[in-house]
Amino acid sequence: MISLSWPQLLIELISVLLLFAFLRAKAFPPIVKAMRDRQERIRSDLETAEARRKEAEAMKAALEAEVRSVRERADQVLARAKKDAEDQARAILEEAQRESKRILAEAEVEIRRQREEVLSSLRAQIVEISLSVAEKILRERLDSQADRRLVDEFVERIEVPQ
Amino acid sequence: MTWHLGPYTIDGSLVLYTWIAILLTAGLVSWLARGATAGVPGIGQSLLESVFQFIADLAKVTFDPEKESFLYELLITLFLFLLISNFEGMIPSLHSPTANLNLTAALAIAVFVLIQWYGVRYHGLGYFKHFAKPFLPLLPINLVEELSKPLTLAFRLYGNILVGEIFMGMVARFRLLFYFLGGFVAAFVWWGFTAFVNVVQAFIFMVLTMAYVGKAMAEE
Repeated sequence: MISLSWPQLLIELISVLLLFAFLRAKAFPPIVKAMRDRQERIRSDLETAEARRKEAEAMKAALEAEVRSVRERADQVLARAKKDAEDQARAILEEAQRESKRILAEAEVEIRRQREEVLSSLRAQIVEISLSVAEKILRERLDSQADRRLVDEFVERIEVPQ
Repeated sequence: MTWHLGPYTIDGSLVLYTWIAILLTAGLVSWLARGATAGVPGIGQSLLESVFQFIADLAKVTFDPEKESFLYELLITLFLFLLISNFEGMIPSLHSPTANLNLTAALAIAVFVLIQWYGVRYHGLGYFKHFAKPFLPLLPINLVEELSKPLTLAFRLYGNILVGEIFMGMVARFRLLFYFLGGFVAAFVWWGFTAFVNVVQAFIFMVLTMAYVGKAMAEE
């Protein structure tokens, strides 16, 4: 069994090489291809998942920015509304104050006018009364036209306390 | 079955056993690889793929199995063929072709040629200069070392498988003796040990081939 024979070696070698040729040409390629394809598919799946993850992250960031800007805008709107309301309140107040001052001033003017009226009517009555008194006293002596002028001048000079 | 060719003899039974192993290997691989899919693999495909993956993982230490697909597939072929050859001897009335030095020596010589071929492919003819390194006087020692590679490859495999076969033959022949030595249990233990050796020897032959070729690729 331990004797070597060169033709035998050659036959054995060629036989095994034939097996190798067959396996390499026919039997191995489907397995090798399946393994490579699977590897490729897993790699592409992982890459796709990674891309999706990045996409989702970008979307999330965009949404967060959107929410932030919306909130900012809402804050701005709220602030403006508050300011507007305050301005309006202040305007109303000022208007009311102005109105009250105006009414007060009008009332004063009216009071003054009425007093003038009262005073002038008083003056007229005084003139009437004085005249009638003077008439009674000076009936015979004076004509009533000249007397009236005299009394009027007198009455003009009467100081009316304000 | 013995043919004579001048001064040489050809053992026909060895050729027969070799071809039985070859056909078994080719048939088994084809059968397991049938309908191979990149999707979810069946049991057969998974089994075959695990062998491929196992050898690829080992090979990655020294070379890229994708680029050196010739060497990679040669190693797979070697492993599967040797595995089936080793187990052929456990089938009653058959013998392992690897229990014959003619096959193991043929393979070892082929491996030797492969080592030199890959050395030259990676480093040009300057590859042979490494035999004179680190200095010239070591040339004979380096040569002996290089020649010991195929020699040990051939004899290790041959010896291990032959011993397994002889011992199994003895278990079968000296039944009475083995009855007293433990009977069925002892035979079964030996059977398991032989199966273990069959796997290990196929693996060692393949791994050493890988290591030798890898070393030639990486040689300064």
